[in-house]
Amino acid sequence: MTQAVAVAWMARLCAVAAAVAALELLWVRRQLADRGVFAWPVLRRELAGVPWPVRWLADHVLSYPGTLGVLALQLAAALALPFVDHPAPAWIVVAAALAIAVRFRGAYNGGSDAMLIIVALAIALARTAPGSALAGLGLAYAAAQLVLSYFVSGVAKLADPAWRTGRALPILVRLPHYHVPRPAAALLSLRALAAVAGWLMLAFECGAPLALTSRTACLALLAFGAGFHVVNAVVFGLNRFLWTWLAAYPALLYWAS
Amino acid sequence: MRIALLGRLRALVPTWRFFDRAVGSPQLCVRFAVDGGAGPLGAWQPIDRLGARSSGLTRWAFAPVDNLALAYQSAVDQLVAELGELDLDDDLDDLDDLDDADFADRGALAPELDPRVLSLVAYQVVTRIARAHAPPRARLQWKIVIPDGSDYVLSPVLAS
Repeated sequence: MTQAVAVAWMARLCAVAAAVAALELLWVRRQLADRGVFAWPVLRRELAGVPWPVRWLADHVLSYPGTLGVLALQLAAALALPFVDHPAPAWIVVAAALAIAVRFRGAYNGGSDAMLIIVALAIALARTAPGSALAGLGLAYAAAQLVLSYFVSGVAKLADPAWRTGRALPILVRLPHYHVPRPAAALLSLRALAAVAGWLMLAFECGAPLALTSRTACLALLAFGAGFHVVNAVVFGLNRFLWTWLAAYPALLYWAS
Repeated sequence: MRIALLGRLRALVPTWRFFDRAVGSPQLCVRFAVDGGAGPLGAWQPIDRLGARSSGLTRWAFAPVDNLALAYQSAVDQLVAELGELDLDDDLDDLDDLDDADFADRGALAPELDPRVLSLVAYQVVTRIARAHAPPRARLQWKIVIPDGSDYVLSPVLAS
């Protein structure tokens, strides 16, 4: 896979991820208004001690009208990403995604916000200096973060006896805020199946660095990973993780090639 | 406050820990009275049962309501974490020696009424989440139940 092909695929998938992220927040925009749950007059109180230019900027960009503007800009830039080779849309996605994360005290949708910023940054660097070392570094950064995201997560799970003994998934599918569909919850509560699925997941996550050893290993791991994210999206509703993680896959494939 | 700003930039330095501990989560529950008067509050209900959900058929691709519910849960988790950092127990030991007037002066009748708790952004966000799950103009109260089943935070009854 060439660098140009990798960046083009990252741009297509990042476009979906950034558009979905913007549209989902626009869908629930009432909760971002001043009478909503995530009202800026409440959230801004933590910035009382920061230098006034930062506060001034935040008040203009992250107020309710400002946030709607940021989301509209992110959506427009996302739609332009696959069709415009200029770096501006990618830089706009980086800035908009970061602004939204800052507004929500660090993240709105956990790690998917971080991965969106990482992928958009890699595309922005690659399009700012196509074919240069900087472009390669951007892709390397995205590939490294992708591998780390699986590996760190897998190693952290190993410390928990519930994961090692196969009791983790039955616990997680019962967490009410994930709204796991009943058939999936019943299936993943079967002890033997939960143990096998849990260990498969641990093996995949802990084995992620193997993707860097050969193109074949990379393809196999990414195929498993794609299935893993689809299942997570269907079972746990983690749809944003599907699109943002898939968007980073071409970067790893490029470096593994 | 600089720490608060740095915390808001944590998307730039992700920790990549997902489901690393398979344990239950703190749960936000609300109860409310819709009469607007002095009537009793209803039964406690977890907000997960009160809120809407994204369509089961499309949520693998587009799940605005489910992701909003996850953001609510993150706010609850953040409040529990921030209360843990406040070390209120030590302060309450010190308060044992105070009389009622001292309590009133200090505004610390209970950890939940401690000004440091009330001023937390996470506390105010959680209060708004609770209000979003009650009928308009209802008197309400919220609490956070931790996985062992015990109450961790109980709000005052909030006027309509």
